[in-house]
Formats: sequence, C-alpha cells, structure tokens
Amino acid sequence: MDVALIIGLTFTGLAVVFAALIILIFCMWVMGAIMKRVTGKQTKSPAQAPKAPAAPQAPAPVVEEGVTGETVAVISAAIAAMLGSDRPVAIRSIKRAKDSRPAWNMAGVTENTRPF
Amino acid sequence: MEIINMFVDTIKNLALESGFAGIDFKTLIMFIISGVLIYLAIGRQFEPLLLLPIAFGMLLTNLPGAEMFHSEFFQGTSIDYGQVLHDGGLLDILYLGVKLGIYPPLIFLGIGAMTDFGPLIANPKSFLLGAAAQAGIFFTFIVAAFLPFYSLQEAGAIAIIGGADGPTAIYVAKTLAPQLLGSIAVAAYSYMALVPVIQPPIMRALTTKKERSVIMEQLRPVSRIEKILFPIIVTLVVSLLVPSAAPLMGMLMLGNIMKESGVVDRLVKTAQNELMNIITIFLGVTVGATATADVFLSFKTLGIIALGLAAFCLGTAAGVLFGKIMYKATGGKVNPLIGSAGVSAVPMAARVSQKVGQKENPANFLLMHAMGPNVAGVIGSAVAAGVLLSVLG
Repeated sequence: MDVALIIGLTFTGLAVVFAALIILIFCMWVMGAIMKRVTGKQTKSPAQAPKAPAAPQAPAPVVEEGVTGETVAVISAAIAAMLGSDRPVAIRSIKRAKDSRPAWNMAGVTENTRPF
Repeated sequence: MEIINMFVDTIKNLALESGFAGIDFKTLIMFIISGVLIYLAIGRQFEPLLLLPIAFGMLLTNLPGAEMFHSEFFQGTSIDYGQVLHDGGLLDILYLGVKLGIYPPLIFLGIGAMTDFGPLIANPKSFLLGAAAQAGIFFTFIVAAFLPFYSLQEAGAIAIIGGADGPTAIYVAKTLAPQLLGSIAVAAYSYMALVPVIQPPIMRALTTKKERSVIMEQLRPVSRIEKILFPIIVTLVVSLLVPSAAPLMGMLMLGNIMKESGVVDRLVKTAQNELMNIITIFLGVTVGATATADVFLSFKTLGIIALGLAAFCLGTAAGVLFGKIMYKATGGKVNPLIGSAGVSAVPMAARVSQKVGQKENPANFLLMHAMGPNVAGVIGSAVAAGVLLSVLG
C-alpha cells in the first residue's frame, strides 16, 4: 500500500489529462484563428466585386410543364446551398431528366465501372 | 446379457462425462446471473448490443465439460500461445483478440467513423469539461487502492469504469487485471445504460435553477478543412504525450478522418456497420466468457459494482462542478449541465443534459453544446487509460 504512489498517480494522471486537453484547446484555437484569417481574406476581395454588379436581374428560368413554382424555388435553394455564396448563379431552364436507361441497368453499369 | 451390460456401461460413462455431472452450486448461480443479464438486455434494453453477447458468453463459459474457455491459459505474465491454439476452445481463440488488444481499438475505429467532432471544434473549451469528468476515474482509483483487497493494478482497472467507455475499460482491464475483466465489463455496460437514471439527481443537486436555465449561444459553423485537420492534430498531440493511448486514439481518429475526408465512403460504411458489428459480437462473447464462477462470485465483484457506481457519480459531479466554474468564469455563458456530458457515454450523457435543461426551459436545446464535452470525454478517458497503463502496466 504505497500511499505516495497512489496519491502521486492520481495527481499525475489528472495533470496529464488536463495538460493534453489544454494543448489540444490551444491547437484548436490556433487552427480556428488561421481558418478565420484565410476565409476572411477570401470574403474581403469578393465583397468589393459584387458591390458593382449588384444582384443581376436574371430572366425567369424556362420551366417544363408540370413543374410547380414551389419545386422551382426548392431546386434554386438547393443549388444555392450547394454552390455557396461564391458567385451569383442564374438558372436558365429546368427540365425533367429522361428515363434513358432503366434503374437496374444503371446500377449494373455503376457496379462494374466503379474504381476499386 | 453382454449387450445389455455394454449398453448400461456406455450410458453410465456418458452420464459421468456429461455436463450435468459437473454442475455445482456455483455453476447454477452463474446460470441465474447470466439469465438476469439476458433479461436486462432483451427485456429492459440495457445496452443490448454488448450486454446480450456478454451475458450469453457468461452462460457458455460456465457450462461444465464444454471447455470453451480456459481462464488458466491467460493468467500469468507470459502466455503459452501454443497451448491456447492447441488445446483451446472456441472462446479461447476468439479471446486472443481481446488479449492482444485488437478488438477495442477496432471498435474505436468504428466509433470514430460515426462521431462528429464539429461541436467540439467549434467550442474548444468543452475539452476542459471532458477532462474534468475524468476526475471520477482518479478519485475512484484512490478509494479502490486504499481498500485492502485490491492490488494497485486491479484498482486502476476498476477506476477506468468511470471513463464510461466500454472499449477503453476492456483495453485497460485486459492488461492490468484480466481476472476481473468480466465483472468490470458487466459493471461498465450496465452503468452506461443507467446513465439517464444516475446523472439527473446529481446534476440537479449541484446546480441552481438560474444556472440550469442558461441558454448558450449558437455554435459557429466548422469548415471541412478543420474537421480533417482535427484528427491529425489530436493523434499527434495525444500519442506523443501518452504513447500508451496511441492504439485507442489513433484508431478513433483514423475512423474520423476517413469519415470527414469524404473520399473513402466504402471504407467508412464498412467501419460504421459490418466491422463494428463483427467486432462487437466477438468482443462481447469473449469478455463474457471471462466471467467464470470462481472469479465472478467473489466479494471483489460486489466491490466492483459499488466502486463502478461511485466512479460514475464522481465523474458526473466533477464535470458539473467544473461547468459551474466555467459558468462563473465566462460570466454566465456556459450552462453547467453540459459538464456532466464529459462522462463519455456517447450520446446518452449529452441527451441527459438536454433533457434536464429542457425541464427548466423547454426552448433550451443543449444537445449540440453537450456533444462537445461528450466526445471530448472519449479523448479524455483514452488519455487517462494511457496514463494508468504506462504507470501501472
């Protein structure tokens, strides 16, 4: 029953756990600061450009029959979310994709051509 | 006459060799205990993914005459692997994955592939709460080490139950106290299932209503690059500081970087599903198999059950108290309830923080904020395990 070892191990253990995690906090904070600096520079320069061509008025997209205005709004929102606010995008037309190949055939082609 | 004699003799020999001849009082008790655990796993859904294989492994290992597991092969400092491979039963061979330290890191690989460290990266202060909750481990170690019937190694293995992390507990116990592995695993998983019952009273007792009602501000969005750099940084820092934690931490972060990279989707899918499931089955059954009658039915097991509960309670209390310190230090921006999520029972402890917080203020969504300390606790308990292994192992 080595009392010194027991107490020593407890305090050492707590100290090491805290030390490791504090080092990690520091690393995360540094990483966060670097990321902010890098993305800050990127948003600063495009911030000048869009001021000039403010919201270009795009003509309404040519939409196939049967596609509701709600669907058009959803598709536009999805595209905007995917591309981010990098550049303004105008949607020219929305058409249904044709069923050129049955789904099973497509699945077979994908399976065979997927790179390992 | 000869034929009848031979017939009777054969039956007599079969009867003597059958398991029924080998059953004694202790075996029956183990059957009943494993039956209770099976009921808890199936009927009450106590962490069934692990508790069911553990309970059934306990049943299998106590079958007299089946020779599926020989705990005597694995005792002592040097194991005769030739004997294990030659004379061992099915569970002996599968147990090699535990003894050689293969299964727990692979489970961590799967866990890393399922974990989102975003909330932690967005609010790195959560690391402190993850560290504070590991105090439960070390305070339990003091108590266990001062009790006369546990050696230092056994105390360390019992203390790690407070980390609330199954694979970590198994990884430590198989090195420090393999004879207690079965009891420790059963205790660890049972208490993890009981987190929603154990934590709330402690959380409410240590916080004021005002502290519980704190609404924390929205987490900042975390970029993909940060999520990819995080596993690399953590692996380097933790493994260089505490090399014995490298297998666990390395595999956890490998799983995570595979998930965040987005370029190895097939591997991530396997790690999350098939690999996790296979290793879980093997780990559960073999850990349960270590719970033979002679090691499980002893006062040490009762002590493990009591100390395990103490470890959970101390960890929760330490986390909440540190949360209060952070509340005061940040001028009321941190809700102390998320401190209890530093006990790394992911995601159960975070959900408990959410529920207790919602009782005070139904519009308070602490879940994402609590996930930060929750996953930080996984890292913290792995570091604590590394410290225990390097000093006591």
